[in-house]
Amino acid sequence: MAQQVTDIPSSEVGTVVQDFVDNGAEKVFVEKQPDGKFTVSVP
Amino acid sequence: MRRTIPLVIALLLTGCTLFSPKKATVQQLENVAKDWCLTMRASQVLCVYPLSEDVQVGDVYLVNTSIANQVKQYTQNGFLPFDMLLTRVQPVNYRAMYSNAYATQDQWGNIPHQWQFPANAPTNNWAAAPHAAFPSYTFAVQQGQSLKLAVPVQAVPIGLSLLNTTQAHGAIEIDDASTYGIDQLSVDQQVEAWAACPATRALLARYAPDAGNTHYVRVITRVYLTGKVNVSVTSDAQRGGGLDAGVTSAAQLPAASSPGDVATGYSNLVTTLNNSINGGTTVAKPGGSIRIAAVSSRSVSLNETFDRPIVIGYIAYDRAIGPGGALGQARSTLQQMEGTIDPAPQPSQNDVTQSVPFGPDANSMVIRTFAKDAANRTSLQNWLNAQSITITIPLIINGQDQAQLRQRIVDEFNLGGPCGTAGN
Repeated sequence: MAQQVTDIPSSEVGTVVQDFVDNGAEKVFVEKQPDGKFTVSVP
Repeated sequence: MRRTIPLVIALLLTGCTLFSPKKATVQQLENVAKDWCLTMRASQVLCVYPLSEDVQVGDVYLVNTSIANQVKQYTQNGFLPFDMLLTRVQPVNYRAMYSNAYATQDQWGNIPHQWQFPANAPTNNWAAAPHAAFPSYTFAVQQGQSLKLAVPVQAVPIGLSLLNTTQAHGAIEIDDASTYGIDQLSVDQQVEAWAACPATRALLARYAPDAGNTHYVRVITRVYLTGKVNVSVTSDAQRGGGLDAGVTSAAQLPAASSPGDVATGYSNLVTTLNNSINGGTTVAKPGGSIRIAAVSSRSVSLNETFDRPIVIGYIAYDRAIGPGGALGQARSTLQQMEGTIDPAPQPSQNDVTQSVPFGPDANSMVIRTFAKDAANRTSLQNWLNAQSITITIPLIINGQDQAQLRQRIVDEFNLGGPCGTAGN
């Protein structure tokens, strides 16, 4: 099942990406939302 | 004595013809079966047919017909057939559900077997389980009413055959009823965890929507059992009719020469009838024993007792199987059948994707630091698995809606920090 965290401020994107990597994610996608915040997801 | 001879002959013929009745009799009995299920429905319970001991809370069945077809079947027959058992989940939340009551102490992983097969006891212990009660219901047996069922209680056709009638009325009382169940929230977390396993997902993916057909999983959350059914049948028909399935005579009280002989004769008659029913080799009585409690020329009362209680009804919910084997939102099975809610929907994007809005708190940093260590992360994941929590650690750390779970983790692992309550 895919997982994602939405509405992430730009200053926190790196931390969230690292959380997924620490959890064993091989691919992490970062997408900028229309409101300027970010979504970090793994397939 | 002479008058008892026709009775014995009648009983022998009754036994021989009991399970090969004419079509008219079958149709009448089918109607009794529907009335039985309607009684379950009136009590907001789905009817089990055939009656079985082997239906448990946590059973997950595949339903491979549409809700519309099921509603049609449910309306016509009064019950929903069980299709394929996919898995049997043992609920983990029984301890919170029952604490130590109902003989469940230290048996939470064994329910309901501690009631079925109690240790060091020759009989079952269902009397210790939560009790339930159902209203008794009356039925009328007439010609010309047809349903494609067979009657679930053996005492009814036996009573009809003893009375040698195709027209009768009677009552069925569900006795010694008990129940147990589990909360939907916890068992659904377990189902979610089961469905997320790769092998399960591959299996469920085969039942993804196909040409408009939706398949479902049905999860049993509560069952109702009975240990005894009391049946009374009174004949409404004239004697000697031509539709009496080959039985030549009905049960008759023997003639008595004195008042004292009446009681003796009656007792002998009941004994003879019971011996005939339970001693014969031509009468199949799966799972239960039948005793005649009272009899006259126009009525008979029978008690059917089951060796171990059997499941007669259940409560369940359904989840639609979506593409890739993902499961949609849960909907009450009974409410769907009654048409009070829409059919269980296909999984939405949110069901397929675990998505949380960003919203960490002080516990997020504490858990992140703890989970940096591989051993700690493994411990945390094992604990999540034991709780049937399927949301992943990154989402727990960062999710706005996960504050309560983060606090549980901090307390459970004694992590301290600004929000720690266990002290560290």
